[in-house]
Amino acid sequence: MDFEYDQGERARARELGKSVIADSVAERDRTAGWSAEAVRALGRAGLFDTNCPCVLSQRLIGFAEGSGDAGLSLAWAAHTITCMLPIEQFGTAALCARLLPALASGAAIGAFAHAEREGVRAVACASGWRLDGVQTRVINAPVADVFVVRAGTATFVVERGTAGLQVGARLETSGLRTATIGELRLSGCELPADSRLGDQHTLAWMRRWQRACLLAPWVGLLGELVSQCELAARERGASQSQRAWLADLGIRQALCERVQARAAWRLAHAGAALEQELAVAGAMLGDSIATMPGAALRSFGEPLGVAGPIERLARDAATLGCLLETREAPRATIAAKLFGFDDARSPS
Amino acid sequence: MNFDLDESQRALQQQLAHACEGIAKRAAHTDRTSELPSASWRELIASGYLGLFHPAPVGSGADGIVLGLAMDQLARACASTFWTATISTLLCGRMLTDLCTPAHARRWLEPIVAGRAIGCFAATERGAGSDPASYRTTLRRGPEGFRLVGEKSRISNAGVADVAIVLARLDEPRCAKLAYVVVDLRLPGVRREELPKLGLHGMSWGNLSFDEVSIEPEDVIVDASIEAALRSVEWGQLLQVWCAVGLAEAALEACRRHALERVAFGRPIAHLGVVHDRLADMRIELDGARLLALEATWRKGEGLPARELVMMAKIHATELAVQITDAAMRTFGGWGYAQTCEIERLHRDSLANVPAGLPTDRLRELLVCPRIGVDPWSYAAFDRSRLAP
Repeated sequence: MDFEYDQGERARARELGKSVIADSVAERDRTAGWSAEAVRALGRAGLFDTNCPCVLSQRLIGFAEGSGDAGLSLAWAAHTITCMLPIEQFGTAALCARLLPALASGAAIGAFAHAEREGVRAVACASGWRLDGVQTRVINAPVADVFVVRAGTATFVVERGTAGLQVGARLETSGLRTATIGELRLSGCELPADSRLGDQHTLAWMRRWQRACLLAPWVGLLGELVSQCELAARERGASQSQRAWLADLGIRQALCERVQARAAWRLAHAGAALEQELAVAGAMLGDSIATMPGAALRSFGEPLGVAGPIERLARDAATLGCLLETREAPRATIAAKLFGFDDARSPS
Repeated sequence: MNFDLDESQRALQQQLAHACEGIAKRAAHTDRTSELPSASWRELIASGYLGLFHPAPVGSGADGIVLGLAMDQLARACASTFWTATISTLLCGRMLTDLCTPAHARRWLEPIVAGRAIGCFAATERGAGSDPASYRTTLRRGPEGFRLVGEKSRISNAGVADVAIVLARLDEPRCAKLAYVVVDLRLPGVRREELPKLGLHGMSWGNLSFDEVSIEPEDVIVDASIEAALRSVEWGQLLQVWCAVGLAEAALEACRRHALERVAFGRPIAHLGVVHDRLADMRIELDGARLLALEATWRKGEGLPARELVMMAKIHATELAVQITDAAMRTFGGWGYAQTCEIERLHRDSLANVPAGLPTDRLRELLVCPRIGVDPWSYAAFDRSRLAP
């Protein structure tokens, strides 16, 4: 065991976030502006092109701390973790050859539709599969070209323009306004046989990646929150109680950074502790995002709640909370391991 | 970066866990009688624990990860035994090697590592803790040499130690210097007084008073660098971190067993949502605390700067252990409050780690103030009017 972190990938992404993205975040947040050019810049820099969880999460952390852009960081994470990677892992060679180059360059955007408003059903048909149903709260949906869609325990790839696929308008959100979130309606949407990704275990594979890396940007964003609070404390002063809270914020960020780094490493190296360590990362980051930015706003936000970086991160965190897995989900995994249950849910 | 233990680290962890089994069985007795059983001390010596913290030829010299794992195992077994042994070999032992002379190390470290002598560090006083400027114990230079005068208070191992590293003010004109004094506690003029306390009953804790104790000039370390002293104190803070981690792990394991054995409403209480969520919460936070502690201890073992990380680990782990043992009491219901239940002891023992080795309130100040341009050594009078809306 050693703790020698390689900071190279993080530093490169931080520099790009700072030089290309940071200046426009406030304006895009105000106008809910989506920047396709920013995504292409990330693609051109080769940042989407990795299937190593350690490299990917270090890039996401660096980009988030350099740019301060929670929306775009989430869009990147969703694009790679929940679309590119499952296609690369489970897609046929032809599917990969058709979709991955454009996704890797940022010319095409990916999305993952899994939150069902009307249960999505997949039925075998002559051409392969037919999908019906509605998925909501889909990150990147309004701008995406390729959708990974959950239907029960199965997972499919659906390309924009497929007959029967309707992409709804962008949902108006109070936070993560530099990302786009929307709905998908599938009615009689027929897909070829090779559009199915893997089997019933694909979703579990994707969940591991999500727990390890989807919230990685918030390691950087919580670091940015610490910096902003320290700046406010330097400029406006801070009582001893506020300073104590600031220490706790720094500790919470340090904890998140470490459990996330371990989760990414564990995903790459496997081992008996895999599920538990991923769940710990998911739970700790999820809890910290849910509590720390809001509390920071109360203690160190701009007077009268005027818009600013802390206020923006508090809104971003609140919106993200509505998109994440439930608070109970990672705890069920941890308790199952602790008690040796197959399923930690209590019978009613 | 590698988050797996290697073979030798895993083997040592298992070896120590095995060696601590007897100590764990005697932990309740140790607490009840306020005496460390000689069998526990013998087993501790045989385990090689005392030598891990020092390189050969005195000790066996282990890396930071092994030191963390070893402290975790012993603290889990019995916090009183852990404190007694670790204050002696780690805090006092590292001060002897890092701050004092090779002669001091030869005289005291060997018996400490062999378990024949016990050491302690005496800094705090009745009226002074976090603020070293308030220390009053004084080293006077007179015609007959140095004399130590004053009283140190709330000192771990005070009643059983053979040697103490005492922090004393030099009583010389225009001198505000503090000196480390290596004091043989068997010298005439040394008095000990045990202080009653809430937990850690098996560890001696109390006052050491010095009534014109004659000190040899070679036992006075005046030019010990502050930096070296702080590096030793960091080891002391890691002691509290690992005690907290070990205690919390013991509480979680007790809760896990209880939740599977205790039946209510027709099934083990592990099936109740509030119980398995609570234990999952314990696991999440404790896992994070252990990871932070391991990194801090690894950095210390590698000789890398670790001050911020050690302070963070100390604040988080020590307060977390109090929360976890408190939550454990609720998991045990009324039994958690009974002295026959180990949780009650674990909870009492966990409380000592928060104020020891600089209280967590103070550490928060030391962590944050330098980053926001505030002097953590100077405070204005509290003005309530500033709180008015």
